[in-house]
Amino acid sequence: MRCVKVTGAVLALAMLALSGVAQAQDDKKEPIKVGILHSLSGTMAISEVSLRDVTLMAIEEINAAGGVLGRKVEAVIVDPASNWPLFAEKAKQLLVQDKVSVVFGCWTSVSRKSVLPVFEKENGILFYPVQYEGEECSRSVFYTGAAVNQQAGPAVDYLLSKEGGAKKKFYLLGTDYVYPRTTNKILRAQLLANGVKESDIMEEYTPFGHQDYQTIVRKIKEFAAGGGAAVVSTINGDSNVPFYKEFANQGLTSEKCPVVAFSVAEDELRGMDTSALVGHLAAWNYFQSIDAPQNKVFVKNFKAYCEKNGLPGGAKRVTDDPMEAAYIGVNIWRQAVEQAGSTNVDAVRQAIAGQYFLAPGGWVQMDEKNHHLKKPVIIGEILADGQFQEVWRTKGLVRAEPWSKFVTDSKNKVADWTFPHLSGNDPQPKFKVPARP
Amino acid sequence: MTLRGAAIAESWAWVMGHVAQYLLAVWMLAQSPPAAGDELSKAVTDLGSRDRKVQEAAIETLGRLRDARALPPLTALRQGVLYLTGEGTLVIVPTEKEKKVFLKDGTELAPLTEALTSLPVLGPDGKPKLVDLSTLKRVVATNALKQKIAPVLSSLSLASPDPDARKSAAGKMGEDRLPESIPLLEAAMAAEKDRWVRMAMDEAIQMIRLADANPASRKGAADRLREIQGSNAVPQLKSMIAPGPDGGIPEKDAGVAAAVRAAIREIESHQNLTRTVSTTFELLSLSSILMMIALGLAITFGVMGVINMAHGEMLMIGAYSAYAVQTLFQSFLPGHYDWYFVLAIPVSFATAAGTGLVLERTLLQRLYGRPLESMLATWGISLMLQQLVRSVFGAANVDIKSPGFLTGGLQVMAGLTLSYNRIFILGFSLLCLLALYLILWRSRLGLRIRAVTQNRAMSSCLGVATGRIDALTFAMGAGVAGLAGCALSQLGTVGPGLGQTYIVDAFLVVVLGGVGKLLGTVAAAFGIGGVNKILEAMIGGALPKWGPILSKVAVLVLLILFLQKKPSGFFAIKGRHADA
Repeated sequence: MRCVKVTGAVLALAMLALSGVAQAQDDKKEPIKVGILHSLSGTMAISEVSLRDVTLMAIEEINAAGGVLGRKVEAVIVDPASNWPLFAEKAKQLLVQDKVSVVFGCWTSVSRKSVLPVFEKENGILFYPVQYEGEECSRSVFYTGAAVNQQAGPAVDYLLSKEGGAKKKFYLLGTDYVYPRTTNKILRAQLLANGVKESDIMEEYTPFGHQDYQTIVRKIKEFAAGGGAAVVSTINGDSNVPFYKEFANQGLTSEKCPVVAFSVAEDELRGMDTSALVGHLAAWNYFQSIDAPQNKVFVKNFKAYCEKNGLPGGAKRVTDDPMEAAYIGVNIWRQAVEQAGSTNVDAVRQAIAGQYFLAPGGWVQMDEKNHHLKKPVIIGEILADGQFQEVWRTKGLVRAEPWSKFVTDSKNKVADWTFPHLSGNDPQPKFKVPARP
Repeated sequence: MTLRGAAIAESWAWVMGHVAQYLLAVWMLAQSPPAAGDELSKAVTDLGSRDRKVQEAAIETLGRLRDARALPPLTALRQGVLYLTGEGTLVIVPTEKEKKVFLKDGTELAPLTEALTSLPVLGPDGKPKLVDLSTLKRVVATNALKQKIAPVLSSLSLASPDPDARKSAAGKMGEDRLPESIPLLEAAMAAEKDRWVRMAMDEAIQMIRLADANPASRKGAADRLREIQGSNAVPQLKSMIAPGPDGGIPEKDAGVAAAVRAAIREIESHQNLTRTVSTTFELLSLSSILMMIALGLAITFGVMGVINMAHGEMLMIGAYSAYAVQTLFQSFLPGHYDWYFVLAIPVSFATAAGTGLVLERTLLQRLYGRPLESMLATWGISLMLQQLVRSVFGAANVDIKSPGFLTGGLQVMAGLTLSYNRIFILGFSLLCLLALYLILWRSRLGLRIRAVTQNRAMSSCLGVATGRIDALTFAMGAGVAGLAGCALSQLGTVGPGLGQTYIVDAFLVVVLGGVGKLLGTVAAAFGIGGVNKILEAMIGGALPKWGPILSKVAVLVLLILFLQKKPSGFFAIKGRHADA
């Protein structure tokens, strides 16, 4: 009996000591775990696999330069398989089980909205690299993709300007889901505010995977008669190919009626016959063809990375805006951890705000208050090789407006996570600062 | 006019046309003095200068020279693919994906063409030299410069080899309404052979004349527009008689106003006609596509009673066969690229039929008479086929370039262009239908197939090899699906999910048409296609935001209601089946 008690006590003491040692080790030489939450199978795999690849490349670069705080970064990759509820489960697994310090992930707004409650409950940080419709500002998320006023808004301003052709008629065409519907709502308000007549704005939606654009292209042709028309396209995915093909086959040219797209980037153009798209436009914050030394290095490294790791496409792979945004996210996180001196979530979250980073496309800055990225907006013209040629650029970085002033329900909301506001969506600050005497 | 009179008029027009062409050529030559070659090459070289003012002067010179040889370097400058080599030569980098070569370390190589002569830059071995793009310096055109290039490109494009570019250039001149453009357009029109490009130029001229100070000119323009049905001018015509805030209209001359009103009326009634013809063509096109997709399924499901959930994947195999043939042609026969499509058709048929045959012999022959098991088994096969394609070709969509003869469209009326690929699919589907009809009803094989379908036991007694017939029929159905896939590859995206996009439509058509009747499938395809398009036009007119979505919903609702009344579809098989 006594031996058992002693053995038990010794064992308990040993375990305590060991756990103490383990705790100490956690802060010294253990690698820092980060989560990658992108669909590697299913419908979204085509787009999200590239994000996983570029995130892994960024992590490899960081480790080659000595890691973060002297510790190596280790990626924990999970596959939510384009299944939105599975996104939430995998997010929980990453935060609770694997205890990752940060997660880089999601593409569709549905997936982000599924994981939001998990991140807010478990106090995690998510870097979201894809352009989206705004109307959100969560404490746990850092949005490195464009909000509507950083992509669609400036594109419409360009079309209205003399450089863009002083267009007067706008055909808003999109796939039927939340991003196009919200974006078009905002754009319509913006157009009306700029003096475009209600009768000169047409809005139309098609279901996912729609292939037959004959009637719609005919309507666009009639709409564009007499000049001064442009199509603003939020068509997503596979439907782009039949739309552009029908557009060209019915005799419409990009000179007569340009199409500005927000979901067509270098990666999508890889799998399309680009002859029908030449001359049309897209609006992004980054293009692979940007003539900057750090961009040339980035593109070359990525192609070599794909070739070295035997990824499909090899050296023919391309870089595009969401990939640059993912790359920015990883590096800004690294800078924030170095600044905070630890991986503690609350410390890092505060350190992320205001970080500057020399991205492949140029300098960007994480906003001091609203968890979004200040980015330039560039309009590019599609070339036959699937690349873009820059035709217009905003002067300087554009600050994100997560709550659009054109949407009546949310125009008064303020996204400001600094003191005293401390909220993503309240018109009033949470804390009252006493007036100075 | 008498026949002889018409003949005389025609030959006179021919002569005048050629005289005009000659005069145009002389005029163009007269514009550029004998030393034009030097002036042209100097201007083109100046395009590569670092001094913006020199570039601007060069562009103005090229505009004045009106030499079509300036088109390639100007277009290249605008597109950002004009580069300076280390030696100072101005070169153009091709923009086609296939021409670029990617090395393992990420370097990009490409062949170059000289800016002035458009000849390829050759290496020491006489073949086009592949140059590392990072050694070239891009010639930058600021946006202000591009604005200056645009009108010059437009006027030069009037002589472009591409008719769509000429129409576009004429249209732009009509929209810009500069009186200086009229002589240019008139000269180009006289030399123009393409009827529709001539019409576009005529329309542009009239649109410019509509803004003339002289009322007789304006009236003449409005009358001419009425004659040629110039729909692009309608907004301008309407603005001329739109009542202002004081009630008066901008057009002060009553005669002109009347002519404008008459023109608008007639052009709009013509537009209604084009809209109807257009909707009919769209209807036929959609129906022909549905028919092609469903024919194969009609054979396997209708004639053999096998619920083939892998039918969509047969479509996908056909489309990927076309892609494979295209890749082969790109690598080995790039000069004859367009003919890949001719070879792709039999290859798609063969691959899909082969897959169907293997499927039938290994799996389905054990599942006859068991529809539920065959449904489940073929569903599994469809998943396997999708994953097989993903592993071989990658999960991303693949890029299929249409051959030249299927790109673009045929303009049949003012304002109505029918795309060539849809015309082709219409013809192709009717040919397939005819071929199937001949095989099934006019050949010994067809006789045996029908016999096995109606009474398997009796046919077997009479010496028909039922097993072999089953295999052949299934292969034929799969082969037709392969052909449909090859045709579809010209229309839309080709990816591993292609089958899933079309399988539901295929089953809808076959069930609606009546299982077992080919004619029913045809009728159902045209029925669904017709209702879909008409509803899209109707709903699209009333509720533009919901047009295509609601029309799809409406078609499905109507289908459900119809099937409640007549569950066996349009043409049900009357009488009793031997094996039900």
